[in-house]
Amino acid sequence: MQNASSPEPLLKVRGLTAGFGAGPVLFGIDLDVAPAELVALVGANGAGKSTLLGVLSGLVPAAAGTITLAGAEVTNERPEALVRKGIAHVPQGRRLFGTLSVEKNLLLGAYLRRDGVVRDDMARVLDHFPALKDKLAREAGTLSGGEQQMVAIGRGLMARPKLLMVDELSLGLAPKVVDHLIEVVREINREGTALILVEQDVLVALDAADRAYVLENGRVALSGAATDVRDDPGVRKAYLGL
Amino acid sequence: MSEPDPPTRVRSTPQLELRGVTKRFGGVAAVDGVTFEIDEGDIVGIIGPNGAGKTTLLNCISGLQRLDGGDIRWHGASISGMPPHRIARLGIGRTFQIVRPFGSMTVRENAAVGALFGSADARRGPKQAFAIADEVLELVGLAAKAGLPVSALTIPDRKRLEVARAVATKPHLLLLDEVMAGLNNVEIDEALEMVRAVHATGVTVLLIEHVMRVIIGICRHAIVLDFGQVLAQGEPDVVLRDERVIQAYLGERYAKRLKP
Repeated sequence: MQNASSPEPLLKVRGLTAGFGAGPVLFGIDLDVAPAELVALVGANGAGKSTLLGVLSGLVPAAAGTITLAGAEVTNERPEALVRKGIAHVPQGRRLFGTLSVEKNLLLGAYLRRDGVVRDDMARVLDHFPALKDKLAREAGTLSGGEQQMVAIGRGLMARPKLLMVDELSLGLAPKVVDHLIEVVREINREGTALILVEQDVLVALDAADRAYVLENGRVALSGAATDVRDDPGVRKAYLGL
Repeated sequence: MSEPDPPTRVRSTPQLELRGVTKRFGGVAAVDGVTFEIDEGDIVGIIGPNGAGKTTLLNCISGLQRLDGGDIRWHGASISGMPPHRIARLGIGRTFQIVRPFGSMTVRENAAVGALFGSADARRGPKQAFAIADEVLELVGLAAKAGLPVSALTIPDRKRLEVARAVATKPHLLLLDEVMAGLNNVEIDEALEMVRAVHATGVTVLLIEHVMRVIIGICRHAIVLDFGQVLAQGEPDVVLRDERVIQAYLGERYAKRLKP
């Protein structure tokens, strides 16, 4: 729980209602992410997790409520403005440009930047994912699923985000690869980047996270320390199948 | 004086037999001398690292990719080189990892398409196709959504429809390519019930999954592919404790999670 001495959250969402054409998918969401915090977002398919990420990255309009980033309101700002301000989104299914090289895919993450240190960030990405070093010239579509996820996360990092949002890190990946990617995500987090991790492998997400939110039918059903959420009897039954 | 022949255990011909199946892309052997058999009524899981050749292997079996070596036999007769539609008509149905339902059609119509292009049991004309569609939608738990456009389906339901389309071809062998990816544990348990229900109608199942809950929960036999070759095969409990499998695929941390 946030107390009076805790810093202003990096991301503060209050009363967020949003959805696509047919009606709201999210109803009055309150969510905080502290600087350098790792937050897991879990829930059944259709609960609204990806929609929430979409609203946070400006892809889905908010109908009501506010989103504040580092103290400034950013509700319904355009995606490119939100990327500039420090929110990067690694979408579900990776969405790489399959016929472009790995290097170009990574550089596209820095498309909006004019600060001249993009190459430093490329080096940082390759430090996190050394497996990509000798594959920079390869077409991204020819990489294995795990390597493509590395490129997708790397592309997100190339925007130098304050908040990196990863949707379904484990999708279609071998267990060993998931473990490795989670390790790297934690490393990125320890270096100071806040993270929201949306994950169907709920145990993996809760093991990695500081705090967690459980979404049910577009509402926050539960939130708290990841260990408490993991031990919650309802969560164990409904999501972990224990 | 010759003794009478010892009683021989007559092993019936396996339903599906792979002998040294090889598929190369450029210089790389994506599938490299794979040999195994599947008996009628079995549930077999294929696991292995990303890029190990699992989907390519399914593509070889369903005729989407021609072999560069080896042979695939269906009830003892070679089907290597047969085009996909003929293999489907023989009774080998499959799903695809990336589901592509017909977006302008209803759930029921999508399922009926499977029947129209399926095995001899399924291809009995449009009227019969809808009857089969209704039957399989019931089986996979989509009956209540039969009239909806596919765009209204959630991801787990789209996966169910993908299975329904394949089951509507009335296959004797069903190949499932990661139909449980992106589902949480409880959704996986529901999907396992669906696969059990299909299996109970007499369909052999060969499935690819990365989710060990599936392999342990339903498979009688697991085959581990690594670099296009069979690294290990056997009962899931045994295979998942194999040190080589932990090294190549599961990782130490995950292996620990599997322990009771």
